[in-house]
Amino acid sequence: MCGLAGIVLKQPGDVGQALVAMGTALVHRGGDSTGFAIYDEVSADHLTVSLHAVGVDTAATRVEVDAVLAAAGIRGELMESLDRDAEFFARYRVSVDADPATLTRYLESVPGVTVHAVGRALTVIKDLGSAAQVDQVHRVGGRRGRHGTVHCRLATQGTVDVDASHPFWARPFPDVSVVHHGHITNSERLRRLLCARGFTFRTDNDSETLAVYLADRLDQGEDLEVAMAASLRDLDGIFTYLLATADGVGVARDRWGACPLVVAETDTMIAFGSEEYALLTVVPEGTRVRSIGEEAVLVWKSTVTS
Amino acid sequence: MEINCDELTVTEVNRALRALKASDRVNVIHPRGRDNLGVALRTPAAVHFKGSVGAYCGGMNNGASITIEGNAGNGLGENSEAGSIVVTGSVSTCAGASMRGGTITVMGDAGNRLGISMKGGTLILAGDAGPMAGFMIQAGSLIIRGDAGRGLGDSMYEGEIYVGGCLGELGNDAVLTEMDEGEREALAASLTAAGVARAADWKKIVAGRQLWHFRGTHEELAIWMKL
Repeated sequence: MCGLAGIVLKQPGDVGQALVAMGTALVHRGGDSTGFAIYDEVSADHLTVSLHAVGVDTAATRVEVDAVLAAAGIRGELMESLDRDAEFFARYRVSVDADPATLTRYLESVPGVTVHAVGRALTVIKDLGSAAQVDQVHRVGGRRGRHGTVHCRLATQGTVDVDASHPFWARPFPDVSVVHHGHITNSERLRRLLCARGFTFRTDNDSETLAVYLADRLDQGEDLEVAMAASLRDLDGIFTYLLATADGVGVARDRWGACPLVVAETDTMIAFGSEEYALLTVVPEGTRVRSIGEEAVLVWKSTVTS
Repeated sequence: MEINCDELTVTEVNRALRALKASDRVNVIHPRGRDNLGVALRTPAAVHFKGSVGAYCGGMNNGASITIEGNAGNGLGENSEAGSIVVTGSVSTCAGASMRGGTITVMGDAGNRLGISMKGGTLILAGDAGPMAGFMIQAGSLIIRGDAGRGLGDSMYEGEIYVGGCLGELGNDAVLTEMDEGEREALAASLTAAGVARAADWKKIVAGRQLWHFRGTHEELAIWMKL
């Protein structure tokens, strides 16, 4: 099983710290890898690119990344970087008018590079290990924002590696991310249909298919609730997932409710996750916690805008 | 007597609970939704959890009287054999899974697969049940005061399900059957003892006996199983 959780703050605040606390409480549900999607203020003038490179000469690869950005006519600036042996994680800031699909294509033409997210508000941080371990390496706890999600993975489909971890960015749609618990049994068929329309994927993971399926519907003009309601009809299998955008977070649960989700609201936040145990790390003991029913879609809009 | 979960591991909490004597009454504070609290208790002591618990609370209960002032996670009282568990809030999936005896009462709602594979005992839900309640129930009584979700009693054996609210779609081989007055009175008495309000109209669901190779009639099987 996996564990997932999310939070929508009623004022910008310590989203990272809250997500680390909830993710740490859910470590028993999945310790293969942990990932965070953090939504800060929506930028008017830049996109944030969360990028990962593995099996590379880090210095040479960074030079190559700069070169492809220049070749694409995209002005970019390295904001932070974390290096390991033959691997690095980086956050770039690029001009807001860069086309995410083109940007991603250029960046992923560099061998070993995978784009984890592009967005005006979204930063994705994901790595192997528990929430506490990922926080220690990537300093997730110090990141502020408006809303976010966390996922603790027990890999049941796809490999145990960084790029196959959640959250999945719904490439190439900016600011759309998904974390998922369950198994979508018709994901191969959905993927074929999406590939036929030109969408690309980086992993074999059913959750990545889910992300692109949902973002495609959003891009066609459906709002969060309508797109997620359609998924209850179109998806086979068991699933509970969180879909986050720059505007807020939605949750969907399949008709059998096999994958749990509970929610609690206080004066300062709405918190939701796989177990009450996780919520009790961020809401006071005694806060009313209720289960989200089966075949359900709920959406929380961020009350804070840019 | 008080046990503070904030100061102890789950193993230490359970060790302390298993050391209780039959007349002991203990408050367990700050459970904070942790899993596996109060499992395998044999002594008929009174254990009160002040707050929500996680998965498998009261699992393998064999005599304790457990009360939970809050919600409970998956598998409440799984494989219980005796004693009682009362939850003031709601429960997640698979409450009472494979229980063999004793009584479990939930005053709120239940997620899916309430009473899955029950083998005995009585499981009472005051609120609404999610899908697949009573799935493969082999024996015992599952009493749902509120509404029951889809797939009720799917593939059930010799257990009995009673629903006071609205019925969702019945599961495979689950059928409605008549109740006699004696049965209605016994049901009412069970609910009164549990502090659960009566319902105006009860429905009884049993196996249609088309799916499985049933051995004889209900009566013959009851004798054979010494129910």
